[in-house]
Amino acid sequence: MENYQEVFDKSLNNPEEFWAEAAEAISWHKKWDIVLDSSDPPFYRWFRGGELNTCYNAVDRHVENGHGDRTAIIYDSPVTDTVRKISWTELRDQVATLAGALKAQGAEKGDTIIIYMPMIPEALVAMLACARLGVIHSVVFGGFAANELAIRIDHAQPKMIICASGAIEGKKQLAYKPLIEAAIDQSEHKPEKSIVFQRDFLQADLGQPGDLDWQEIIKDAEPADCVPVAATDPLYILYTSGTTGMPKGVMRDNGGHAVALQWSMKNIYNMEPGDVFGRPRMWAGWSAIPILSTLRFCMAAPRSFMKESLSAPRMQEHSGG
Amino acid sequence: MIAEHKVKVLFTAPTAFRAIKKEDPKGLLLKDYDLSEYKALFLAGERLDPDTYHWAKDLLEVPVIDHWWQTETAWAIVANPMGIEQFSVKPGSATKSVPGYDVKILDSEGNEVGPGEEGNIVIKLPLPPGTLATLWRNEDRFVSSYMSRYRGYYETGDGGYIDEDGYVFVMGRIDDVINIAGHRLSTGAMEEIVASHSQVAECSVIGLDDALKGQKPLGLVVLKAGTDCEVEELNKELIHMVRNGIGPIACYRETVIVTRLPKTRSGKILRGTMRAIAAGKEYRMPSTIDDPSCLEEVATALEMIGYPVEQS
Repeated sequence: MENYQEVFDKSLNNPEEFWAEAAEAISWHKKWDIVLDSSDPPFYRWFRGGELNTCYNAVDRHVENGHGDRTAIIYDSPVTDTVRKISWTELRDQVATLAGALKAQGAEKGDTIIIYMPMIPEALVAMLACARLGVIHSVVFGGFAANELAIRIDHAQPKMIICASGAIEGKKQLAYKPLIEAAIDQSEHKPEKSIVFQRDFLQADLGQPGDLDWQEIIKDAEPADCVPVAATDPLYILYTSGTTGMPKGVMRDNGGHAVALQWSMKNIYNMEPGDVFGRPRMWAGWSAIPILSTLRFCMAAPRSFMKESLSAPRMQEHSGG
Repeated sequence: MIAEHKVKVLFTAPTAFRAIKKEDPKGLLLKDYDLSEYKALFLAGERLDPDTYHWAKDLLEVPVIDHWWQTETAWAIVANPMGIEQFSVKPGSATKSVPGYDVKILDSEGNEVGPGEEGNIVIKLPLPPGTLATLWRNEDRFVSSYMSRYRGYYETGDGGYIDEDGYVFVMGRIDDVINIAGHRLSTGAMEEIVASHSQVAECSVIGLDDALKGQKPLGLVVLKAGTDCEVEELNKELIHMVRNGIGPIACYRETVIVTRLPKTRSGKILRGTMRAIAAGKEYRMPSTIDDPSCLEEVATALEMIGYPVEQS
């Protein structure tokens, strides 16, 4: 094994060689022309000229490499009494189907879509479906109030919003749809469509123009293929608070993101394919990362981690179900 | 979850562990589970205080690995690179700069400082792949927010130091963003809402250390002249307003009424000084303060609601 100092020195003294080597772990539709374009500082662009698809790298290639039957996602939510395991093949099929449905609704490469969902596997499916089409997604944390969502709608200008009907927060149910309607009332930009994933415990009223039911639109959807995008094309926009007013929309590209996160899973976390990466809380934008390297990704709803750790009888029964 | 799903690495925020520490300080429930597959706990999203570090490490008997990164960078800037070489942990430090990140500490003039000296944490350009390419539809702000203060460097907005062994210690934000249970929220946004209350003349929201959530907001409010209101009632209304305006995650719960806010002669509110008073830390009287007696008034008002909290 190389030691840290060697690796670190190489990464700084010869970053292009270092990251080009790391990029070999990613599947490219077309290799890059230049590793690092530093012609316009302080804007630096990695893997200029390269083409890839992040969803392909995160999902499809694991199926093609024979991992299809293995578990990709473990979802464990005591608040809704659910444990679900999703295999790589199932994940690919769900993502491809949703992507096909979004495409049929008019979503295409370069569009933006806001995802406003709690931490359920469908949130991950939605992010990956966007990436599959080259659609730029922006995850807005499902606890933000209507006017904060409105600010992000005006800035990101999404063609559509993908949301859940609601979530469970603590012991209470929180309906998302009224929040989204209030946000759209306030925003200047009006998304054309709202795609709502109805949860068992809470049915949203789909009475607004452009409202669509997730489960309905995937019924006859033709699965969509991965669309190659430029390495420098945006993968997602993630809003973060600035000190004043308008949040900052951090733009992440496809190529650099895939390369760096794939590298970090082994080198920082020491994770190998098949290892289980537990992630009880979600930072938007981070969810798709571990699966780049065929890890199993164990999601748990907020609070469940605490509940599981605290309620021994429940855990023995079935870890909070 | 760890036992049932054979989780090898768990990745969460320190706040989750502080919550468990509060409910089950001795970790008695842990004994019921088989954690033989469990290899490491990674924490991020906010500063891992040495207290929580020791607690988690002693109980879990696995390496407790703090690592530091920002929304902007998407992945770790400072970490213990378990897949390359595992270093012994120094409590309070997220360990070493991750390959790809040339982390430096600069003073306010932009000069690099020596080992152990606190300053602004910056990263020499270019940043590695995966980090923010720009701000969406706002290239000017990308430059002004991150790239203009120190030419050739990305400004993290965090302060800290690097010790003689290359361990990076991140001490917290230099600006007015506070970190509540891993969520970065702007005190400025909360101030806007508090200030919009009909009886509030002026206000400042500061972040205080919180044993559970890492940080929590506290509002210091100057009432409009001639208004007469109960602080409890006002507090209730402000809680409601912040909840509606930002969301429950802001955790705004406390308001204190003061006669005036400490300011510099140029009118800048001295948030850092008030934070120090509320936390019971020593502070240096800012040379630019307009009226030093104002700080005593703030200290008295804070004392009445129990700040600084006495250390046990």
